[in-house]
Amino acid sequence: MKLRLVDLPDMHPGLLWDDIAAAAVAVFDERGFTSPFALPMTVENVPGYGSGNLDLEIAAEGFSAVRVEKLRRTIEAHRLVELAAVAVAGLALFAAGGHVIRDVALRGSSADYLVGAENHLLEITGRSRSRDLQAAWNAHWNRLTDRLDTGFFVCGVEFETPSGRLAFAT
Amino acid sequence: MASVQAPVSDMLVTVKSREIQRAQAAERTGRRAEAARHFLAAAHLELVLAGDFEEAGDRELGRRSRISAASCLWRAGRMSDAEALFEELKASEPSAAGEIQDVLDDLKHASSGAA
Repeated sequence: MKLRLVDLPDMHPGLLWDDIAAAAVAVFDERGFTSPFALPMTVENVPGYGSGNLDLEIAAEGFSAVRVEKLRRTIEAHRLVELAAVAVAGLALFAAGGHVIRDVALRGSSADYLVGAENHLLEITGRSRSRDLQAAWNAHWNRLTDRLDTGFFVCGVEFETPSGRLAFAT
Repeated sequence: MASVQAPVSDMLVTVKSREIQRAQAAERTGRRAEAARHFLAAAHLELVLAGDFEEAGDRELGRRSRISAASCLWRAGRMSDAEALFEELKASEPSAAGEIQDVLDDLKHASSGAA
């Protein structure tokens, strides 16, 4: 499915997307990927979509090289990866069922999100290396499973291959 | 989490979320005074939202907003105010005390790493 980073503000109008979308361009560019960036997502039990493979083709148009380079110079690499994962999560949620992120809150040093009118919690994790994603994913999934008895989303993205996973738990 | 209808304002949720994002953006680029201003604005809005969620019968979202408020205060440099809010929250919801302590420990760990 072809999607444009520049459309994130229309998909999720409650949040600010400028830095997040530009960070995604910076992270893909730095790893030598060219737009449209191919990113296969594994989708599991997502309402309105179900389970399956979702092949995202992410277009970078609308972000100048100067803007992306400035972001790369001013934001630490691991923070850029975290932001890029938020951008991918926003695109994947929209593509897999038209889900809208409508709220962000802080939880210590990190953040979580609310999705849709049902206010389902969403946590997002981004990693540079493919081999680091599973442990990060498990940490989020297990913590939310322990804490909540209602549905929640977890989205994980690694930018080495790249690939991602979006799942909903009931 | 249960669906929340009125009296929780969508506009307030959006303004709060954007204040958090502005604060995070300023923090990422070392603009500390600007980050603190936006974190403080977000903290106060989270406290308003917490009350609204609780009035609407959603204790989970109310607790989430209070944890976010305390986290915003901490990241604005108001550590003692944040700790007081975390302690108040632990006392009012003993069953969530472990979860709340984990968030406080995370903030302390992040602060020591940044120092």
